[in-house]
Amino acid sequence: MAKSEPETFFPQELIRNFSIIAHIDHGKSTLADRILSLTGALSDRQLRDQYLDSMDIERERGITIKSQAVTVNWQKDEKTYALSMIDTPGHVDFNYEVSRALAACEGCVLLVDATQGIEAQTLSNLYLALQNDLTIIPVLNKIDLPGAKTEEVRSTICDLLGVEGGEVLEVSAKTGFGVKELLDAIVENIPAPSGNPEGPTRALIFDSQYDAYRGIITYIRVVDGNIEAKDRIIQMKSGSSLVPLELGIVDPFMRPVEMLTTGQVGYVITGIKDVRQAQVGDTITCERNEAKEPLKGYKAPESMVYAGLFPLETDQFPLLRQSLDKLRLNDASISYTPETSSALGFGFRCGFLGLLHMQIVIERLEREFGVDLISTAPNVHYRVEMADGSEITVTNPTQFPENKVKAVWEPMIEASIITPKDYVGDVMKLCQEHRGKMLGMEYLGPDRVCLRYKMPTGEIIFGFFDQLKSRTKGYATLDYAPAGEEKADLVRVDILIHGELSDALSAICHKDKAYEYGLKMTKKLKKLIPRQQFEIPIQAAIGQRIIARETISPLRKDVLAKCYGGDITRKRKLLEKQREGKKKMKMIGNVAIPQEAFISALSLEELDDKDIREKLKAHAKK
Amino acid sequence: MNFSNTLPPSSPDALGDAYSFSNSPFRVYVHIPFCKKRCGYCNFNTFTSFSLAPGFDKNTYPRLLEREIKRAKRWQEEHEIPLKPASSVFFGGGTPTALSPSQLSFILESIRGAWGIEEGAEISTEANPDSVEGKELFDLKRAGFTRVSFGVQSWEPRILKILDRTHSPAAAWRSIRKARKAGLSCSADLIYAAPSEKRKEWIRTVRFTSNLGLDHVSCYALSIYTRTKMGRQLEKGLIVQESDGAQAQDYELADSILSRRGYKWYEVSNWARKGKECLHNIGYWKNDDWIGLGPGAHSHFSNLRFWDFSRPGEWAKAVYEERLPWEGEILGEEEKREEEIFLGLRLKSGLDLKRLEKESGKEAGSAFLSSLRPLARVKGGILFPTRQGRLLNDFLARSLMDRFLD
Repeated sequence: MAKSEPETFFPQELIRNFSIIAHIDHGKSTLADRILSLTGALSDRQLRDQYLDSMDIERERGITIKSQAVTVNWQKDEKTYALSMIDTPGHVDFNYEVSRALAACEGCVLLVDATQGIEAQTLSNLYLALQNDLTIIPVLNKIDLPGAKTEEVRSTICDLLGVEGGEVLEVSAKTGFGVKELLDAIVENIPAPSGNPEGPTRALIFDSQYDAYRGIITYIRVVDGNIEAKDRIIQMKSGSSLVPLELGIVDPFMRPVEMLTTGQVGYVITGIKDVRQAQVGDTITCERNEAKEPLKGYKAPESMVYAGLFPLETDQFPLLRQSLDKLRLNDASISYTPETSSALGFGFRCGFLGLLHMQIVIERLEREFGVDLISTAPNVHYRVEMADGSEITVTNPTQFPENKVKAVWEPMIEASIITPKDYVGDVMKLCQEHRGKMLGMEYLGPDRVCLRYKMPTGEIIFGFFDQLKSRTKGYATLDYAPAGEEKADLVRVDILIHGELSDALSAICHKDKAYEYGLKMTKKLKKLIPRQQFEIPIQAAIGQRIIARETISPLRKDVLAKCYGGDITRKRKLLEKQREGKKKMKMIGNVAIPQEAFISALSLEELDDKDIREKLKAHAKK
Repeated sequence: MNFSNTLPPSSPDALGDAYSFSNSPFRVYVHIPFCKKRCGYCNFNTFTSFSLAPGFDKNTYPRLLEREIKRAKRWQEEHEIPLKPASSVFFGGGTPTALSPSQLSFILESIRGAWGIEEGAEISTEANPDSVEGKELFDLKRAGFTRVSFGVQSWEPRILKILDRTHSPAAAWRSIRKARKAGLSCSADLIYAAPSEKRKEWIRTVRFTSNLGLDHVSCYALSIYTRTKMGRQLEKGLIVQESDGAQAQDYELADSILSRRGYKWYEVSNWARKGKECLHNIGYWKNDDWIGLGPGAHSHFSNLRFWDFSRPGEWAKAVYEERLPWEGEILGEEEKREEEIFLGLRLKSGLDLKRLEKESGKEAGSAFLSSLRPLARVKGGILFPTRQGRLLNDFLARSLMDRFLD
């Protein structure tokens, strides 16, 4: 199996394309590592842990964000097969990327942690795979751990897939046990790609990445025909036509090849730097053997969460635009439109798949592109019917009309929560607090329950998951899918600082929660805003009506009594530091507001003191 | 914007090479790092053990200082930094009077031998009210000291206990009386905003102090630092720090009482009878040159700021090996301007706005000046801090820096 120069040309029947679907921490990356070392793609020395998670953020958070496609060679019955492993993310925010990855495969490995069992996320990805008619190879991981409930989990999987117990493989990705058998099963059970090798060339772009040195790297799966390195290729949707600089496969290093044949997964580098010319979902064909009909693309992902992103330094606005353009290239799910805030200046209103997705995008913008950002509190989008019959879509609280509103519609989701049965009561209470309506409840095995709820999207995306985890000691898992919209009684709560409206702090709330938001937000801001030499009132208002108020008392004294022993240097550095700190703040009127204030709505749930409890109680009585 | 934040400290030779001439007066500060007992709020470089490192104790310390003095003088000569006689000498600590008058005298003579001391120069020492007896005060006077600053802190036994002070009010009273008798100009240091101190206790302390015939009074707000005994008590919630509002009230009360008794403020924390201001202290804020001697002491020569190693062992080793126990920084134009602003704002004599405008090439403008109104006013091209401006001195300094610096 030691490989010197790997094969790069494979007839269709020797190709297998698959992905691994698994819940976070169920060992997918470890299994991928094991496959790389067992097939000789990487020597042990080369093998870093979690090789496939190449982005820093993925490594740090231990989650996979971007799909990657690695081709390894595997010998069975004297034949060498090319197995292409298309990695998928495991978080609910990234379902869209999962479906993209699955569209390039004929089969998938369903990896389940034998100590944990099936989780909500695994279920939803499994359903996606079934919808795509993929062959599923169920695998139990971590069977060597003391806590493994192998038999129990096996029988749940059998019920779910309608398979016999013997068809469920057992592995330990950590030790490598069973991985060989798994690779054999992939060859045996997953069908070879079915495209037409004689037909016009059609390849699907299922991913693309921007590389600072090489430009755009487009990942493709050849569906029909073939592509040669010297071919002039055409992207059917954008219409651009170019000769590739490089055609290749990832093994897991980028290896140039002369040709990609029907069924093969590989990459193309064209030297394109303009992001709009390499859209994921587009079809590539070639001039030599041009196709007339493109492949069926993907449905564009829907943004669930919106937030304003503003550069800290106003002169970074062009950089922010460029960075978003580049990010968009390998994350087609980000949407953005320019917006202006009186408090924060020029920025973008961005749409994300979820809160984690938003946090990751912000981190990537800061880390990979060096943009310092302020983000506003996230919100969902609302459809507002006006009294005159017109209709507007609100993605930013400032657009929310104050009057002449006939009805407001908010997006809904259907959530599935899987929890040990001991926590069912707590989960139901939590869902009710978040305006959830129960749709159903079923037992998965003797002590695991799946609860289904319909809830407003806005209720689930902020902090709900953390609360769910904390109320179930980390056991419950959550998955959700959009489920239309419903009419709701919503209002906009504005925040005024020293009498000035701070548009970036406005929020759209359910009427019953507006007071709580106002109360907590004003309290939070009182803690965050440094005192100044004048009194600063902080008010929450609905329209003209003030619903909550806090006051920051004026600062009376800041001078140090002395500079001990003539240590002027320390004093100077202290003042320099304070000035630097203030530069990072945003001015609203003449009050300097630290950045944390703008994202503090995210952590309002944690705010809980006696005063808040008493005021909320008194308010509820009214 | 300022590279000095990230630059490693410069060596004495690099500092000496970068010196640019100034004709400021020259002063000497001597740090005496010994104390009988560390006070609960103290974060100064001071030690209760009298043997601080091998070869470094109360008995060897004057000789060590003598070596540092000689080595410092050689450094000046090597780098052609003009030698000037000292316009003032100040012994601080710690507790300088932990050393005997003859030891202090020895150090003073070493200074005189190296640089000379101007005729009629102010020579001060800090003293703990219970560490000097009557005879010692006469000895100090005879050795050439002109001024003693007593760490009185409070006249309330309850507050002295909270502050961990060892002396009794009676001992302080006796020491001050004897010092005056010996012909020394006397000052008292007071501390306000001690945890749980009542306003009437503070008023009593200031009133009593103002009746003692002292020349000078300093009032310092108690600052509680994290790594002190009080800092730990604060963390545990055993004590509560007074709010800045309460501190401001204490300050204003002291300022009113002292002013009525003939003490005028001349620096944020200092009040004096006419002509009795501490010139050494003013020198710090006027950006005079001074050399600091002893572990942790700071020095300033024109565009140089440097400081002695603060660890006694490290300091003593360098001194024994005839190396300068210093490191420091070279000030650029930007830093010099920053310092000029926040130093000047602490003084009654104010900040020379005209000069600042000329040097920076930027105008203050009347809109900016009126925005500072409750904190400062301008007269004859000088910006004077008001009482409110003294209390919000940092804010005032930052506002001016934002205006005059990039």
